[in-house]
Amino acid sequence: MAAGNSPIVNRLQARPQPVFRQTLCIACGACAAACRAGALAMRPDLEKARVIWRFVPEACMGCGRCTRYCPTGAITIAPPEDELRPFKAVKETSFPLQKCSCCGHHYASALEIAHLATLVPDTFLNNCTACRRLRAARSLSLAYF
Amino acid sequence: MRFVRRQFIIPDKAKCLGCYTCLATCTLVHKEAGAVPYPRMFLTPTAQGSVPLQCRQCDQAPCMEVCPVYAIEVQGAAVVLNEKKCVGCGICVLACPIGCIEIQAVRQAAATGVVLATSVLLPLILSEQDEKKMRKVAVKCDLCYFRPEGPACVKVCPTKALTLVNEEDIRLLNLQRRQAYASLIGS
Repeated sequence: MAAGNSPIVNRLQARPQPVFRQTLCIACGACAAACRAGALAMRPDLEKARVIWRFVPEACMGCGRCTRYCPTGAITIAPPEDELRPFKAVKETSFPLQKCSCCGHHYASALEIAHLATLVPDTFLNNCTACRRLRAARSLSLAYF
Repeated sequence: MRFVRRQFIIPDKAKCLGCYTCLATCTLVHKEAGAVPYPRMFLTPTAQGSVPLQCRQCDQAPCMEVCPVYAIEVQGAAVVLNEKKCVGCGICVLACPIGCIEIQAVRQAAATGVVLATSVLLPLILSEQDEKKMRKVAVKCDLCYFRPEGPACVKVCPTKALTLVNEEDIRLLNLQRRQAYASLIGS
């Protein structure tokens, strides 16, 4: 996109846009859930066992909602003349999915699980929610009260 | 630190029939209160019978610790999720040890139109345009904190399989067990 072609292109480029650092991203999907303009999207690709992160710069309003909701600070917002400009070139990338050790379904991003293991006890993180419920239900004793 | 005595609901495997009355009541009560009309509990079938599982209101709640928008907070005896703050990222779902939070989807405008689909199925049955109109929120048990008479599921269960337990009950139960053990080794 050449600069200064038309007023609309100029205005698009003058708008602050999110700067995405892929190394910090854990693919939790908070940014995609927070985005009201539909510029950020996250969709699972179960055949390839990956989750695809997609950014459409033309749809972005530059509101900065995604930066507030990102738990790791992988997205920040910057004016167009920022020196971090090259990072904005990331428009589509993908992250691996984690397989449930019990039922074998893909249930979350593997990086998100690794991030959670640093925050909460990781004894149950390898299982999907349905398998966790099943384990909790089985462990309920027949005679509590 | 929480200074309120914690409470939670525990099911009885032997008494539960699997009739789904608790799930229906949960949906109805929360719909009337203006919350997302979805059941807050999960009927889980096991070999010994079905059990309705729900949030245990952990003291150091992992969901509360990992929430990026601080939408989960303590209100009274319950850990309550603020649906207005929730963005539906689903990190609390993964942090829950017993899997009793799920992401559900409602129509963007209000909670009146119910679409019976979980977010796991949404990408499969909806187009990308449809999905933008949906709002995803996490849904968890809040012990019906808006009801002064206590959780509705405990009241309606036909076989009284659900019990609301507080710290006093746990203390008494421990005492009973210690006494039973003491009489066992005394005899």
